[in-house]
Amino acid sequence: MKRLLWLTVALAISGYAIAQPSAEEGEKLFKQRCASCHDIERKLVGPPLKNVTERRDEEWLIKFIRNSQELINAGDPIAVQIFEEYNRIPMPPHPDLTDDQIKSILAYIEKASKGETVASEKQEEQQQVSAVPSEKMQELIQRGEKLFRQNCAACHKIDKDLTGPALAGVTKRRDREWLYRWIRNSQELISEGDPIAVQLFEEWNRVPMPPFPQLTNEDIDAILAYIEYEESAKAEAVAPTPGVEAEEEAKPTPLWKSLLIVSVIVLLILSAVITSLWRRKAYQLIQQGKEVPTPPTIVEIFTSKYLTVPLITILVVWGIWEVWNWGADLGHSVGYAPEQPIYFSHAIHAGKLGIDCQHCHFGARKGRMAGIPPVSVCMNCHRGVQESNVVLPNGKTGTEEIKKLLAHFESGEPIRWVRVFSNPDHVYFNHFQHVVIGKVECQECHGPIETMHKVKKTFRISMGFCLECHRERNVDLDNGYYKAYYEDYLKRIHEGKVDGITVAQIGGADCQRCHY
Amino acid sequence: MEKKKYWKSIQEGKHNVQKEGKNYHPEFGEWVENTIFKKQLSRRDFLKWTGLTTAATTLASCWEVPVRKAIPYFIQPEESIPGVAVHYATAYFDGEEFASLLVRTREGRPIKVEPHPKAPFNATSAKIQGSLFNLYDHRRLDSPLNKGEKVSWEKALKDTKVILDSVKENGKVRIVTPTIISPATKQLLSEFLSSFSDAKHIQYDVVSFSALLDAHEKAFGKRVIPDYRIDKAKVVLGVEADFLGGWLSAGEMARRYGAARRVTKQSPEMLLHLQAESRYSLTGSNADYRYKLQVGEHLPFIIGLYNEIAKKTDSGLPTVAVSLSEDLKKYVEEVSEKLLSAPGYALVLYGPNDLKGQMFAVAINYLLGAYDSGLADIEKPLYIRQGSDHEFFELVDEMNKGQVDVLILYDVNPAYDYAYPEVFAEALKKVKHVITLADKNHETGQLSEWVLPSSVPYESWRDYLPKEGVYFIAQPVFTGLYNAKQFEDILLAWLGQDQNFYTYLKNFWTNNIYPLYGEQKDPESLWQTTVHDGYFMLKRSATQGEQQDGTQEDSMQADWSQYVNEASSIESPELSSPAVYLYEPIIGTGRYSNNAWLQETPDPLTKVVWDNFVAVGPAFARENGYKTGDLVRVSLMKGSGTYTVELPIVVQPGIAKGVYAIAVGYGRTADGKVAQTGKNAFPFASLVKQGGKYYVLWITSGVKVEKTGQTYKIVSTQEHFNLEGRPIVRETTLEEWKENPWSGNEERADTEKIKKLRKTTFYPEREFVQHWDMVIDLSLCIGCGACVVACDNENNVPVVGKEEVSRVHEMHWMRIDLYYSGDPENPDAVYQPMLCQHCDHAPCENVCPVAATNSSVDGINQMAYNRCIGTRYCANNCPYKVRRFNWYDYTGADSFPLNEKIVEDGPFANDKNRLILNPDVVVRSRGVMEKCSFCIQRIQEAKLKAKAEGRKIRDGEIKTACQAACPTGAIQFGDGADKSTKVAQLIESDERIYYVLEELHTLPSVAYMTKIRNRSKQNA
Repeated sequence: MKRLLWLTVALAISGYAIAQPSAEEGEKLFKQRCASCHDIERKLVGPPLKNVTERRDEEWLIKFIRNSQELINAGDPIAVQIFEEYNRIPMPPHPDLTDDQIKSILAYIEKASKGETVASEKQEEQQQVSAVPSEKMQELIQRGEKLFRQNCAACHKIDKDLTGPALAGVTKRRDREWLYRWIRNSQELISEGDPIAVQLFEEWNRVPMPPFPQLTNEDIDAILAYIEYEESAKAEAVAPTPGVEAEEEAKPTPLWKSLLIVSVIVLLILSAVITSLWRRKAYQLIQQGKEVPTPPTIVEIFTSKYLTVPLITILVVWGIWEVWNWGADLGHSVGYAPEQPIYFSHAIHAGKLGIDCQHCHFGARKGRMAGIPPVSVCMNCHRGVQESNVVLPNGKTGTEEIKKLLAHFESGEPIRWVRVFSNPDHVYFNHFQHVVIGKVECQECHGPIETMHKVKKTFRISMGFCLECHRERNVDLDNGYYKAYYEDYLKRIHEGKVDGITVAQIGGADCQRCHY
Repeated sequence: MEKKKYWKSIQEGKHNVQKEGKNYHPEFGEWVENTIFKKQLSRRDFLKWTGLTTAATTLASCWEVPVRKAIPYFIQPEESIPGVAVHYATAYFDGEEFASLLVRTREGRPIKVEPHPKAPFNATSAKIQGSLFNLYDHRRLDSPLNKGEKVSWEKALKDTKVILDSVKENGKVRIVTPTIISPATKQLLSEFLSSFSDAKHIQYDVVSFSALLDAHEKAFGKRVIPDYRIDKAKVVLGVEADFLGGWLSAGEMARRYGAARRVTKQSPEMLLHLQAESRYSLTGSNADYRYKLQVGEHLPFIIGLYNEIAKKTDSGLPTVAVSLSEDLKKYVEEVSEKLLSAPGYALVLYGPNDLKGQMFAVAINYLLGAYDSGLADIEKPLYIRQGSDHEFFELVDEMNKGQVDVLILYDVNPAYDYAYPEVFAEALKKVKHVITLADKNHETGQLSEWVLPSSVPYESWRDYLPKEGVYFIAQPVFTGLYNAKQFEDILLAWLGQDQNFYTYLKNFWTNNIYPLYGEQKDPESLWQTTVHDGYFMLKRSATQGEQQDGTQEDSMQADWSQYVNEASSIESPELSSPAVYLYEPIIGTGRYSNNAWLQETPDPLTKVVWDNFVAVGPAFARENGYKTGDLVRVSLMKGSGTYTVELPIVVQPGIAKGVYAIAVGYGRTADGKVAQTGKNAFPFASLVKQGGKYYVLWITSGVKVEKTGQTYKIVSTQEHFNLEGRPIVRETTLEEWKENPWSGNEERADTEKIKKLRKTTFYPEREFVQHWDMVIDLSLCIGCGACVVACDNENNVPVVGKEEVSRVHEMHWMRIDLYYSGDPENPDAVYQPMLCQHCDHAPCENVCPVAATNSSVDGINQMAYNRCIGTRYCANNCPYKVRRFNWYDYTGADSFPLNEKIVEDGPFANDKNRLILNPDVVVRSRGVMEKCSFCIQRIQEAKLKAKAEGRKIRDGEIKTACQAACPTGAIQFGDGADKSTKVAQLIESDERIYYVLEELHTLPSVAYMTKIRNRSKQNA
């Protein structure tokens, strides 16, 4: 009887745990599905969602999210009103979302509306940042750097004004609590009439800083730590201390410099040797009473085959070496950043708006090609977003570029993008394999796309680049496939001495993994 | 037992290769001697060339990197993701062969056909494997033609409708099509015909089964072909019936043959295959006992056999007077004994389209109980041939009299493939309006007033009923590159109906087919399931209604004597030596003539490519002084004139004296460049009158053959990649194998020793987590060549053309070696598919200076094309001779057009044809070595799928292209490291397993299984 009771309790608890919609999952889903049109606080394409769970009935919300058009067609008064209010732009249906998934999104919205951050259980630790030992500090800085690049770098630099102000010294200028609030939602502070916030807003042409509700206090601390670290590094660089100078001395001199020095020394020694030899010879000749020939002139020395032949050989070898390197780089075209028919900015879409890469490049999670989104995918959002005051680096406003997209949409003409990344024909590369199975971040090969207005090839994507990663990265032994084949193998071969198998060890460096 | 001596050609047979080996190098043909060794390259020339090539290479490397565009879809279809293949179930019928297929498409274009994994009739022959090429062939018609002028579809349909409307009330309309097995199309046709006062539909089969159909009509009242279930038979006798090479349905028959021939320890019985023939056919070469008939002896043989069986079974049926030679008497005695040893499980297939013989064959099958046991299933017969030669003969007669007003020809080409093409062409001129519907402007189209481009099966909606009760839906897998319309859509337009055939088909099924199913399900969901599955089978009960004929069988019993009397009263075709025997080659009967893959697939028996020829037996050749390559003039008096062609002689073992065997399907005049090879042999067929009806017979006497004194370059791959007489095939007989499973493979009987020897090595020991292995059962390989074509298609293997093949430059990754043994007049044959053996200790790897070929962790010998610098050391060091070098740019992958040797109209010839290429396999350029990769792209795809689903790769999940294409199932593939797989178990424990040249310690991954012939010991 007792056992039964326990079982019931356990079941109830686990049932509750399962039934409880997870705000964390909701957050993920929100970013994938909603964030391109909705914000908690702000009106984007769609209305701000703050407290939407209080405004509307949950059942209604589920229906609306699943298929708003249906509700509108059915004549639901609220739905029709929203539709009219928002320029008759229908919200795209999400028929694949389950009730639980929608509930978790709503749970996230509810939490976010209350200003709570979702993954913020460990808030207390924040004050100890300065106290952590340097190793932890370094980790923190690294994390901060990553977050900074992902979230801030599109608009901010440490030492320079960009779209936003330079951030050096920001931790000294502002109160940390204020910074948390500001970064998470600046508009809120402005509307509350916070004097610093309003002043900043006015100063920076009333361009609001986009909110980052997903950042926890911990995250922001990491970013700030990174900023602090960077500014000190910059400061040190500007006013070098004696120690730094000494360090600079120890740095290896470039190859050409050392070569030059060596060759000058060799030349000097050679000339000394030649001179002494000549003198000895002349002395011998004089001793033998023979006529001493006139010593060679400088011109004769420099045109003698003993000098010219090695010199030319060196030049030829060097030339071949250079041509070889240049040839090897051909086609890799690092830094290639062609003009595109539409000035599409990843910095705005992926960086500022934080749209997930695979929202548009959805092929990456299904197959070989990540694919460039069809016009229809662009129009999902741009049916609503037809204006933008953002001034792009090419001097045009967002509105002008969006107009180009709309023109394509009108004419039914697909956009002829210029290809930046492409593998040669003899290379088989599968995005699904890398992104989904291998869990490789897009940026690892494509560079910090989310900071680029104009896509630029960052890395020299050569076979070495691929292999380097294949040799370092471990396969995911949680995957049933690898587990089935290699777990036992790992135990047997390495007797537990290593904790993982790299891709290359199980054939990731074989020719016919990529060439067939 | 003395070792069998194998030989590949008659010349080799005379040589003692083991002794003379070093002096006999047939593979270095004339060309090598003529060019390489005679042309001297001076030192200065050598330097010039070196300088030029260096400069050229430098120049070529300075190319600017082109700006490439990436153009996404405007609106991406939901099911299409770039880079992900989509498979569709469909079906294919070309008027001869039916197959249910799974078509792999990429970005909306079909790239490979594969047998449907579940449906019946899922076997592919070489033709079906190559059929996808016809979809893209750039020679296809792109616009309707009126008297040769291009016109728009609107005008074409309007004008032809006016023509048809004008003859509605008083005019003769005739439609000629190949056999139609689509119930919906038949219904539509009958609707169309009924809108005229005098209209008739004539079915015209190129490979005619008129006599077989008529014989069954006389016996059972149904003009059908019984479904020959050789998969259930114990003894099968083929009389001039090349049922594995094209008679009836090559792929499906081969599948059934394979099912009946598969021997395992659990079921150690196999089909006994007897063959009586004068020509040495593919089927005959696979027979356990082959009885060599002289010219025209098939008819006395079948009658004699009937007499013998009628006597032995005490059936009370009358015997028929026939004179038999001594040999024939012996044959009849022996064959009847064997057939009667398995009552109810013996079957006779009679090939020639001759009514008398067919009637006796039916009588024999009846006496053997084949109809009763369902071995020749007359209850649920085949419908894949329904044509009548006589009806077509009458039509030509009508046309000649000027009585036909409108003639509609759909998908037929009698001006090329009729026995009297010139008579048909003359008659065509007397028809007022000729409307041809065809995919190409072929010979008949060029004589027609109107030519309307019609879709090929892969572009059409259609249903099929190849066998009673088994329905198929063929969905289009491609929208089509060419401006063609489906035949049925044109009919609907002529009928003035708005709907398209898809709607018509769907309605037809909802109203006519689904109600047969009995229980009423929602037709919409049924339709969706049927289209998805591609097939639809009626429950047994549903077909009961049609079995009223079944009662006739009992009453038939009384009629059999009368039937035999009628048969014996029918006149025999006069056949005397010498005679021309026509046969269908790998390229089919004309439809696939422009298919370079099929043209380059070697003929199974002579291995000749890119030509048809006159095949004669060795003794006959000696008598008449024929040598392979002699050009002869073959002429035949026909009606008003003489038909003459000049063809080369090929001496082929096993052919009877007086037989000139010529393949049809060559010598097209109105098709692409590829199709124009060879000469048209159809006019050598004759029309024979039997029982008041005409039949097209492919055996004709009265030919005159004279030597022209000239020679012709005939290219055969038989002696290419010669293995220098090393013993690489093993065989035994069923009796011996039952006694000793190691028989024929005695060398491996000491398993401990073999295991120890295999482990003795200088190399570090390797452990495999996965190891891909292939097992090929030599008992099941029939040499049909389907695998070769499938491999070409899957792996973008270049087609090189006749000239290049003559230089031993063919690129096939897979070849089928043919070894003869015994008497050249009636030899035994063994087929051995030979492909890269993927050795664990591969000799090719050690000699590559740039490590372009090496062994992967899963036991594949991999070849990195882009690393290869073309030293060809690997090919020289390969004991199996399976590596192929790109001597020229066969694919257009190079920058220099000067290097190109692309076969015109081949798969690489132009952008439209190139759409057939597999985007997952790189197209190789000049100067690199290539070879079988074990279809690595398929392995990788399956691995990725397994990773996505987080599981191991299932056994049988990966099928190589050759394995999937093999109709008999001779090839098996799997992970040998996983001991639960079939392949691993076979390798582990089957006594028939052996490796080719195992003594070289190359440790190949391809294992072969000793061939078993169903013979007794003394006949071995």
